[in-house]
Amino acid sequence: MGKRILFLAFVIIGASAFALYQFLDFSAPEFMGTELVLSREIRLDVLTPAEGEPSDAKDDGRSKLRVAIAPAISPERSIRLYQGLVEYLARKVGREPVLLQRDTYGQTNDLLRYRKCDLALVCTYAFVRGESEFGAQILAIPVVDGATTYQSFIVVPQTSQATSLLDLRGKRFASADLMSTSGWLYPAIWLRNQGIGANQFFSEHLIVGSHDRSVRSVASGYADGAAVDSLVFDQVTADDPSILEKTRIIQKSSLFGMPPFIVSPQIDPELKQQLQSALLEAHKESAGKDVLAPLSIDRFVVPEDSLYDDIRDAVSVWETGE
Amino acid sequence: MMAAARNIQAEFLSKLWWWALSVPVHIKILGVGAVVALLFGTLTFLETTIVTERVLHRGLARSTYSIARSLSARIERPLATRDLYSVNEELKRTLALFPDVRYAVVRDSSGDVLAHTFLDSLPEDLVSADYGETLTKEGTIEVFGSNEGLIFNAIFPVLDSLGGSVQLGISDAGVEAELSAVRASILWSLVVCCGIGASLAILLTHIVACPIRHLAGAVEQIGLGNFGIRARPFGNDEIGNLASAFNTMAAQLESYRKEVQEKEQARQALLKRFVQVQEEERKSISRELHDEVGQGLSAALLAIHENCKYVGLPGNLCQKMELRLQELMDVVHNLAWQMRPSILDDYGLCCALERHAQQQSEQTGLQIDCECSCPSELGRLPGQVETTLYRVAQEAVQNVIRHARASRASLVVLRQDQHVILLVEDDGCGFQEKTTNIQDGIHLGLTGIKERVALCGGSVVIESAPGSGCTIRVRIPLG
Repeated sequence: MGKRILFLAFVIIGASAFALYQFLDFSAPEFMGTELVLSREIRLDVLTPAEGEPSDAKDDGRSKLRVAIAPAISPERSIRLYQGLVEYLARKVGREPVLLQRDTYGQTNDLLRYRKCDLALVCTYAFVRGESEFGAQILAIPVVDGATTYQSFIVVPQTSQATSLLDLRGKRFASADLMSTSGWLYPAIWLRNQGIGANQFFSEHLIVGSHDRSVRSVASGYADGAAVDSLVFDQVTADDPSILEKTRIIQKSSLFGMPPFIVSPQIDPELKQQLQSALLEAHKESAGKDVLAPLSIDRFVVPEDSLYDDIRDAVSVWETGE
Repeated sequence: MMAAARNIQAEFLSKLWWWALSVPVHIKILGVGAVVALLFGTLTFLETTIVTERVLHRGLARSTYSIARSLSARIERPLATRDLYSVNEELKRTLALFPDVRYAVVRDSSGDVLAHTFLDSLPEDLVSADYGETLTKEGTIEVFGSNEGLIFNAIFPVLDSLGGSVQLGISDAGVEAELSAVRASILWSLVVCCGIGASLAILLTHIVACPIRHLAGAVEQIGLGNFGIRARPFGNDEIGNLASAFNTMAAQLESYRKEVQEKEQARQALLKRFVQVQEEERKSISRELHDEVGQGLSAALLAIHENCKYVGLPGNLCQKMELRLQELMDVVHNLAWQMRPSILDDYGLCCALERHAQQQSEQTGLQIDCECSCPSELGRLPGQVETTLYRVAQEAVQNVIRHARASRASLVVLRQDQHVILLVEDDGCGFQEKTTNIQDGIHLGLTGIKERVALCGGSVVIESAPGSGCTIRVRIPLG
């Protein structure tokens, strides 16, 4: 009897211990499929001087191809779009790729002006300014949907009653940059032609940094209207079709020459030649097509200089106030 | 050798088991309570701290990841335009907003450090190149041990790693403090629970052990002969039932003893009466023998002696008849003496004993000394006492003659104010009192002695050992 009870007690204790062992979970916690266990030991008090300069600015002997992209599209978005093209070009000229972006068109122009970059994709207005200020030269321009031109769209929220730019008087108006043809030069000149001073026409003029932000500021109702690059508008609405339901185009400009790739007049002619060839022939090889496709670019061409005459005139009129 | 070792082991285990079983009941109950409380407490403490630690660490990992991710989103634009000042400002802001953030390091796509939250230099271990290699689209999270405790380290890409990466470390000091607080809280709760548990266990122990102790005390009293003791029933449980059964048993024992006592009293009274009647009968027969038969025989002897010559009987026949009558008279006299010596009634115990001793010495050749110390001023002893002592001495001497094979015996009577003592000693073979058979003559004789003395309220002490003779000491109180 005693032995049986003793045996039973041991069996129950054993079973309980096993159940407990099964129930208690001593494993390390997990997060995102990673076991949170000590992976290494570090010391936070053994210091070493940090390498202060970013690699793209360092002169470490390796030759680099520095390409600046003006923020027609937000830098954080355009880096994804243009990285491939920059790498392609660099590969073509046998250099390390460096993609440079700045907050404004003016700063992007300065990169080229002060030889901080070799090649820059800029707005037409910025090109005209660069051309007049430091002799910037067009290397090639993209052909999109078979065209070498683009437009400025005046965009308002879907719910807006406005039918033209004139209806936006006293409203909040968004532009990508003051040195943008489609974002500011077109509406300013158009209003001027109507005999209206653009600087006083709107209650608030928002400089939002890029065209995609202009579109989104209208879609979200933050701005009552905006003038945007037609190429960027098409790209943004292709990425996010809901924007088409929230916005409406009430006015379109005449056609402008495409934003060009420009170089400094001091550029090494050989490099200039190599870059131009690379651009003009990109569409002929599959690697080139792969990098052009996300940008909706068919190919690059060298434009007639007269393509930008209208802009040159408009800039002249706008800046001199004639 | 092996068998010896096994034996030692078995003996040790047996002793250990016995020792465990010998622990008092209340200690056993308390021990069980303590073991259960300790086991439960330890498990609860372990499980709770482990679970809490796991939850807090997972929360910390989530925070680390979220902060790194949000920082990555906030520095996308400044990093895309290489606005390192803004990047630095964001890092500083993050450090100010989240006090647990120990460091943040921003690298470009090739892994070079662009900005960090250390003053001038940054830890060597954080500069190591392989951080960039572990970069994935969803980011990674790792746990580092460091000289400042655990560090949850998250690396998150900026602009899908085109812009570089952000590395963020959160110290677990805050979590550790919370964990310590949780541990302390659980520990205190356990201490309080243990305290309450111990009090309840003591109470339970008292409830369980008190009736047992009480019952054990009652059993002890029963062992001492106190049959009047009763166990208090503390309830109607098993122990209560045991107490009731005990009480029934005690009551039966008491009633049985009362019955035995009554029977004993009746037996004693009967015995007393029997002895008394026997003595009276003996006295009467002795007197009859002495007075009637003795006198008749004396008269017959005298008649024969006077008239023999006249009836013409031959002289030798007359002499034979006289001799025969004389012998008959001696027999009758002895018989009367044996039945009841008149000297005992007439001259008291001392004379009777001296005479008896002398007579037995003469008859058996055993040397019997008799010494009486009965001061005459104290007067005669009560008749019953004298008779009892005489009969005891008679029986004792008879025993010596029959069984002791002694060469010498002595009778001593000492009379004091309140009691009288009779000592009967011999130098015979002695005996082992306990081993004597109840059917033995010695045993029967001794039992008779004890019974007789007991009727007078006295006591008997018998000292004997094989080869050492025997001493019987009888003490009878007077008055």
